Amino acid sequence: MEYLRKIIVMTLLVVMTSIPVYGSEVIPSNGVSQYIEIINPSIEEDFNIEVRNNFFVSFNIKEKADLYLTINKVVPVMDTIFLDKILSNEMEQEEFISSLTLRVLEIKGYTTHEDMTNKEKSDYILKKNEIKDTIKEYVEDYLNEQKAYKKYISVQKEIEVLKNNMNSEDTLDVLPGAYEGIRLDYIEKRSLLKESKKVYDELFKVSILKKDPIMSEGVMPYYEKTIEDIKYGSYEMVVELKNEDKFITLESFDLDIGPQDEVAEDVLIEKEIKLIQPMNLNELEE
Amino acid sequence: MKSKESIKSLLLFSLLLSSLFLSSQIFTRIESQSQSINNDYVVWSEKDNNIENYFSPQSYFINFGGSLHTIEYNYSFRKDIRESLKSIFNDDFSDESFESIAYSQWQEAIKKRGIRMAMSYEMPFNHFLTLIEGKNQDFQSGFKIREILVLTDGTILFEMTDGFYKLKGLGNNFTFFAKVIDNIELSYLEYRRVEDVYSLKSQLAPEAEDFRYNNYLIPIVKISDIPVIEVVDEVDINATDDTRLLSYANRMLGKSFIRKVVDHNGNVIYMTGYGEKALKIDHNGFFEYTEKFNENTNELSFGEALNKSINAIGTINDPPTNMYLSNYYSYEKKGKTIDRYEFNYSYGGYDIVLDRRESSAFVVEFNGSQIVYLKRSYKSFVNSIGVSNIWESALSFNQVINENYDVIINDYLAAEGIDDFTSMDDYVYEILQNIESIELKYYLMNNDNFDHLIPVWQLKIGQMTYYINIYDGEIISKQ
Repeated sequence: MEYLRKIIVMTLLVVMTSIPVYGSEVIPSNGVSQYIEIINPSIEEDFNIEVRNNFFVSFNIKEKADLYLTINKVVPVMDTIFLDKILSNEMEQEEFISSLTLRVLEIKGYTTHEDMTNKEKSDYILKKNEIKDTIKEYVEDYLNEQKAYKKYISVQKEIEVLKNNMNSEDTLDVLPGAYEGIRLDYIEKRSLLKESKKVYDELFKVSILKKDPIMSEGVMPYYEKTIEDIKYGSYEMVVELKNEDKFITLESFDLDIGPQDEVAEDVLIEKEIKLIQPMNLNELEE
Repeated sequence: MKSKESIKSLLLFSLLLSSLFLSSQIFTRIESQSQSINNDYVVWSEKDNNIENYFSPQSYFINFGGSLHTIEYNYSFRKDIRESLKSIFNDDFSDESFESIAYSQWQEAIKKRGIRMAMSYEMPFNHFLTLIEGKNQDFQSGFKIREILVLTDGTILFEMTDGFYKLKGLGNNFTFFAKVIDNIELSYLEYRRVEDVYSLKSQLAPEAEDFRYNNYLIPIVKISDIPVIEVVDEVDINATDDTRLLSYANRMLGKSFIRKVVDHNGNVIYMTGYGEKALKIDHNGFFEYTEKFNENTNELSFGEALNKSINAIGTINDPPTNMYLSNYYSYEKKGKTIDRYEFNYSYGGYDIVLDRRESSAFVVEFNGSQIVYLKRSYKSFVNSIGVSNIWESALSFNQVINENYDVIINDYLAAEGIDDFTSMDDYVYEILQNIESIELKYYLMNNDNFDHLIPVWQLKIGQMTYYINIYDGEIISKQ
């Protein structure tokens, strides 16, 4: 009997430690390198690209394929601070969603003006509602996941206690069944959050280059693109393969573009944070 | 009958006397002329020029650290760079000042913040010092500079004709030098090394440890707003009256017996006596002066000859303010050692290449201290023509290569003796690796009404040099 308990506890520990790995993305190996050699940006060491004014992209095309390059600026959003405030009832959920919706509309370039036609107005409202729904779904999934996580953590602590007091037969009989329900609930909530986060994250991406065909010019087996006067910050560079009208992401790179000078970088990040915070939330935080 | 004979005798005698008188006059003139030839300094203007103003490396490559580069064409910044070097190179030098270094050290240094300059010719070290300091420097060494690399951390490296060297023991202040780079960094066009753009090592020799990286720079942004320049002859031999042309002849030849000859092309030639000195002014308004060699054993230092050359060029008209020493070499002619000084000039920071590219715009040759040849091929500025309504911007470097690949590859294969190949496209990496320089220049094109300076890429690949219109990619000339 003692031996069986030990096996159960050990199994539970193994299962729990494997959960964080569950959500990690699987990047296809040898995807991009089959078709192109990425010369610029240099991604040998890290993804901090030193740029002053121009973001230069150059690929050596090794094998011709229907490839496309998209570069998105990822507008950083400090939402977790406010989500946690909602979680602790320090902020109204609706207030956050409304404020962030307006900020996203601004990021995406949807603006209102006095001379709007009815069609423009209805399009704007439609877009606004879409964004609002996306944010709402994410916020709810986030809150649910956090609640499930807290439950899960508390059980984890009980497991620890159990491990240290192996002779406590009272709890051992009920714990595995109760734990399994909590664990499955957490996995489900986490999975839902992962899905809604994908859609939510897209709200904060602004394409500065959209599906540009990666083609060589004439005899030169190179693709080159210079994005002049690029703003410092976080970017996402996506190489996609088009296959029967379907775009398959071969590889996606997260890039931090900025000057080499760390001090200057810190200042910029600070400025960026101020810029990206949802309107009104600055005041609320104070 | 008898009186008729007497008249004949008298006439004959008078003819004899006349011939004797005229002959003596000719001999007197020749004597006088040969004296003036020996005094070769007589006609040239004499003043002390600031010879440091006539120093300009072929290229100013600026590195801001890492892979961020530019090529500086701005006069003001170029002058600042030279000034900053003047304060650095004011120490005494000896052969022990130079420490041989490996290519890898040079290559590593190229990625650091600093300035690399390619000399316009393989420049003896004392020439470099003379030009930087503005006065003759006697430090004699066998070193000839191809490129110099000065870093803000105080490192100074050279690519000499016989390898790479580091200059030791300079304890000078690099503050001004660093400040110049800071100022340039405020606004510049970004360039990258050929290797950084095309990753040629990975294509040609991924395993080679001694691979020579192509460090020439190409722009990664669009170049625009370089205007076409309208220019005219410095002197128009058809429109200008003889008095003005003769004043040039007097200035160059002295006021002694001068003959004017118009050759079958319509060029005007003035010469003294039997052609000891001659000045030709051609249809382009270009001047060419020649003088017969004398037994001149006087030696001029580099600085003295440079100063005298500038004065000689200025005897015709003032030299352009943006004239610079572009080449120097010695050669043997008629048993004499001739020292040749060549100068070019620029407009808007871009060097001007003549339609007839056999030499530079200004040439002065010395036999000892005697000037035996002078050429001045200068065009005066008339008008600047914006091109933005015709071309939005210059073609990218890739487009330039694509547009002209057929010509380039055929020249390359012929030069390399390659006639057995499967595809011409296979040589594209080799072509890129063999780029020996790419520079923005102005190319002087002559036409009937006006001459124009056209913005071009001077692209050197292997043995060939191409002049390519930056806007439409057409090869204007190749050699």
